[in-house]
Amino acid sequence: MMGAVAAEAMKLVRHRATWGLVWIFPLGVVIVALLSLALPHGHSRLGHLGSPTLPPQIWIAGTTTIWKVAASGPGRFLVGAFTALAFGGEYGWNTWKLIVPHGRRPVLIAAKYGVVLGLFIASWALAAALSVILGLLVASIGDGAPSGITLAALATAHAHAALPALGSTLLTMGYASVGAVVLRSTPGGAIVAVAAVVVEGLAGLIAPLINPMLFLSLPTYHLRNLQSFIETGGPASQLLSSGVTQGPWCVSLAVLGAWIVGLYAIAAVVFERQDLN
Amino acid sequence: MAGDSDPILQMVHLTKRFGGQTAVQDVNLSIAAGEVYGFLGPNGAGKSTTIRMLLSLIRPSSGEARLWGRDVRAHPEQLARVGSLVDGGTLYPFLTGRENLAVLGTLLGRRDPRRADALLEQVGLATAADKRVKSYSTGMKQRLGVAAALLNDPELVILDEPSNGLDVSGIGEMRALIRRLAREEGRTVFLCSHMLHEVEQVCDRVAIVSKGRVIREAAMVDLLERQGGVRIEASPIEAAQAALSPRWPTTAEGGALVAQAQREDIPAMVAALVAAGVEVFHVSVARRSLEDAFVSITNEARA
Repeated sequence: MMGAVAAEAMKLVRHRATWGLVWIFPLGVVIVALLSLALPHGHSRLGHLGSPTLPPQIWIAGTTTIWKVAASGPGRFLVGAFTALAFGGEYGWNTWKLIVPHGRRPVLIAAKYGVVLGLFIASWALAAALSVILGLLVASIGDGAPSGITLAALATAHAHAALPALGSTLLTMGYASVGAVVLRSTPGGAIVAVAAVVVEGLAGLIAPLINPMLFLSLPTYHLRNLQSFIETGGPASQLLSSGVTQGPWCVSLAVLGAWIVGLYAIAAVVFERQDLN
Repeated sequence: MAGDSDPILQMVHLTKRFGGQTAVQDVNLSIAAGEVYGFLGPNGAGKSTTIRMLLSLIRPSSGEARLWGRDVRAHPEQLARVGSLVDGGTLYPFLTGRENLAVLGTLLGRRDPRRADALLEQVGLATAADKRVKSYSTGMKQRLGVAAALLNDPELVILDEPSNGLDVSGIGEMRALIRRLAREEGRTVFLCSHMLHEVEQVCDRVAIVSKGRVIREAAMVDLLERQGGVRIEASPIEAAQAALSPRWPTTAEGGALVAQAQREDIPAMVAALVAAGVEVFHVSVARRSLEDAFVSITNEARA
């Protein structure tokens, strides 16, 4: 298993698309910070970081933006595209023939999930760390950072922001991998992932119009419900039509887990039975 | 429990159907350790489909492909002892030759840069090792594919059209490499090729397939001698023909005679020639080329 993971990582890290789809997050943070530093003090979006009177929790929340970007539609599109590359690329390059004889198929699939997730977590963690470091740099150029910014407070805030991103990322990886394996195509996998994310968003908008049980079987509400529990300690209610009971966090976790495991299982089973001509 | 005395590679009633079309039908073959085994057939005969089943890339519709006595579907770990070249070296185009071998070596859990370097040298790619594969010619990709096939120091090497895309000298080098793999390194080679001259020179045994079926399996020497006759260089040739014709019909071919006879007839033929006062310079079992044999056998199958 470790060999498969190491080989997958070695391969994907060297692909040019990894820069545009994965490392774009820390690069984006650096670019935003550099632009902020280039603008006159007070005119940039990051200018407020140099205000000692700012409540520390607001200052810290500003550094967790990257996790919200990761869980946003555009962030998930990037996750979908990269996952599609990892799975669909082997069909496009005709390289399953090279590696399948040397590894059990479920292990190869598991290695891909592990490496894709690992690369995104590494990228976002790096981007989050850069957000904090560059935030402190911006603050030091301004009037200084507010007091009360501790390592523990930063870790707690980032962990709370990262968990919803992790859920949406795992789900998006599932959509993209199923699309790529079933359609045997990178663009196919990416399109399926983008379409699924868009449908998820639309499901939220048209929630009052569709059958409540159908809506509650989709991941949209449960992602937001878990996010709400993490952020506020209470359930999300804004997506529910009248008459539908708010779900406890454990139900949302179970539904989301079932979606993720189900999608990964579909990808693995389809690939296991697939002829690689 | 399978032991080392089992055939290295066996196909048992191996069959593959795609929809209503049968690509491979009831193939039964057994290949022993150290053999260089040729798998011949016209395009569309089912050679590549058979190789894909051996490598567990596709599932047989029925039957089994066995490696060291074990069904490869149930025991894919047996493939760790196999090296393969399929589709002319399908490699990652965005990686260099060296990186491709590193990825594959890592996957195998035995990354060894020195072995990779030695293989790159062996296949003549040492100077191009750090170029991206997408810039390689077809022949270079083919050679890198061979290096990749040998990376795990396999006991069995399965090569699907290894000479495709190679120039004349490359084909000669490939032939020498296959010979070395078998004769010097003791590996078993399963060679699928439409280049009959290549197969004739390196294989011990061959199977000829047509329309998914094995229509002939034989040792190379038997296949080439079959119905070949006896070739005689003698003088005067007219007297030789007159002496032999009553028992063995003969025809003149390029200054020699070819008699419709078997190897066992040679002493009697020589005696008849000597009795007729003919000078005998050379007598040998006439061999037909593999191409002649292939055409003859596939035509028989069609008929």
